[in-house]
Amino acid sequence: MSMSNKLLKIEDLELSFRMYEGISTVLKKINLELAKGEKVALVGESGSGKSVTTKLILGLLNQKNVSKKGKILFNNRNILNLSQNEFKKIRGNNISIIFQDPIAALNPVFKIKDQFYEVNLNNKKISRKDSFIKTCEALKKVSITDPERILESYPFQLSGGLAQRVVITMAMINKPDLLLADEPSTALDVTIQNQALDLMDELTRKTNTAVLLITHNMGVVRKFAEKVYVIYRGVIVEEGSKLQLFSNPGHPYTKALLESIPKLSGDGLPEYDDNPPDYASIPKYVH
Amino acid sequence: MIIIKNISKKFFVKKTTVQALKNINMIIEKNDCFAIVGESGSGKTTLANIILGIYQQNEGEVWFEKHQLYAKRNLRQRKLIQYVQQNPMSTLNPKKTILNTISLPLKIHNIVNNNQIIERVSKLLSYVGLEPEFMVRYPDTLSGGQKQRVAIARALAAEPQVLILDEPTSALDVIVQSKVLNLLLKIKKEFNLTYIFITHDLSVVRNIANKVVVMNKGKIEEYGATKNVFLNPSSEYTKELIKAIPTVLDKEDELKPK
Repeated sequence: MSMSNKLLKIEDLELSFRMYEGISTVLKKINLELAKGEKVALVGESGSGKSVTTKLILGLLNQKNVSKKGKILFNNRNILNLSQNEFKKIRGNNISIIFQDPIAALNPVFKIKDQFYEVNLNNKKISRKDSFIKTCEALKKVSITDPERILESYPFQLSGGLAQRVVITMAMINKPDLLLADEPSTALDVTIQNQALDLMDELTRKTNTAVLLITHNMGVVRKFAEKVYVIYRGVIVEEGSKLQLFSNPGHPYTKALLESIPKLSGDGLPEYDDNPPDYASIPKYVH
Repeated sequence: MIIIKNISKKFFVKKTTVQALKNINMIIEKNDCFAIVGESGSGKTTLANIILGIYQQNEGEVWFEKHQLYAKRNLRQRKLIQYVQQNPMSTLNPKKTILNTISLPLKIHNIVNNNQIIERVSKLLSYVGLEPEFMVRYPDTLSGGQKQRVAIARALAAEPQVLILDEPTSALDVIVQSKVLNLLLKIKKEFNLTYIFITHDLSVVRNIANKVVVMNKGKIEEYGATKNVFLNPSSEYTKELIKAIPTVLDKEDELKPK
């Protein structure tokens, strides 16, 4: 096997679920690459297969009815079929994740400090007191002025924006190589969404962490990512740098996605073809 | 025409008081697409609930045409203003077929005779672009966009004059959102409706509303014709909001306040 300098390399990844009605294939030969420190977006609508991709990278799809093919190379090691014990060493240390709804991602019955303790302990043996101090420092860096109060709170006592800061800090505290961000800003107001993206950008830059951003919002992609993959029904239909993709979208689906966003220029809403073409059958466009 | 006159609303939670709305004044003309924008907690949904008569305001008045509306309303007044909620997944009763869901307002407001209900429901479904066969289905067999269409059909069933749309497309994908928005504009024209459109998505507002109110912490920050508010925002808060909108074109960035 040739060594590559890619941090994450997904090769011909296929995923299907065996169901009562038959086999449902949700990922069809996905290929995707991330270099160290690179910010890549995977864009698509509900059901396109973007979230299951992150679950596969984290080893969270292990039901009996799941069949996986292909490779997920993380630091040149295929992690697709690792055991759960092996994955435990990776999760939270080398790869971490931020979920869509920060309040739902936190455990409602534990204080924030206890949830941080668990994450810190996962990295190396640490006392509760040291964990508290370490976490306070980390929270101060994300402009939380009273980290002690936050740490003594339960998740429901935090606002959405605050909870998102906590979750981002938690994901970044062990300085992972790769951060998966699954719609990290969708549940937030626009101003808070902006702050959350800026914060993610700042923290990942410091630690040279690569980010795989999962989203359906092209505006967020344009703000955050360097490289973009567009996914439609389990097929990557277009890939390219942000600049290429936004200035010159090649695939009809990408064009439809971009057109569908209401514009600030107020040119009205685009009209839709009620019978759109089968985008998945149109060949992939690579810039 | 709806006139909101000096509305204030407080909520009492244990020992603290939350001032959700403070001295709100606005005039919603007939056939307006009137947008109320603001972040979470700005009071936009509270205001909608007062217009609907779900909450009683502490101070102020709501006028519709020439009559004052109180929280306690008769059937006719309730029929005039209908509501489409944010989350299509939770607004439809999971144990009722689409036929039952949409025919309920028809029965309550006595819009058609019992033997015409099926015909009317299928007509309402056709307005929102759904086939009559949807009548026998349950909400869990529908996609998000389809559910939102059913919710719109249900609101139309009462033959209202005003529709309050509370984040009607926030839970939908962009392409589906665009389709639902197009549908809403078409229906508005067809039935001569007035829309009160509550949202936090300013790019949507820019494209469909003719007037906009920007709310912040229970107060009105800015109020005016949509184009003016977007091109020449006067309050700092509005500027911040517009700046934060994620955009996809360079020409949009040029329109943002400096």
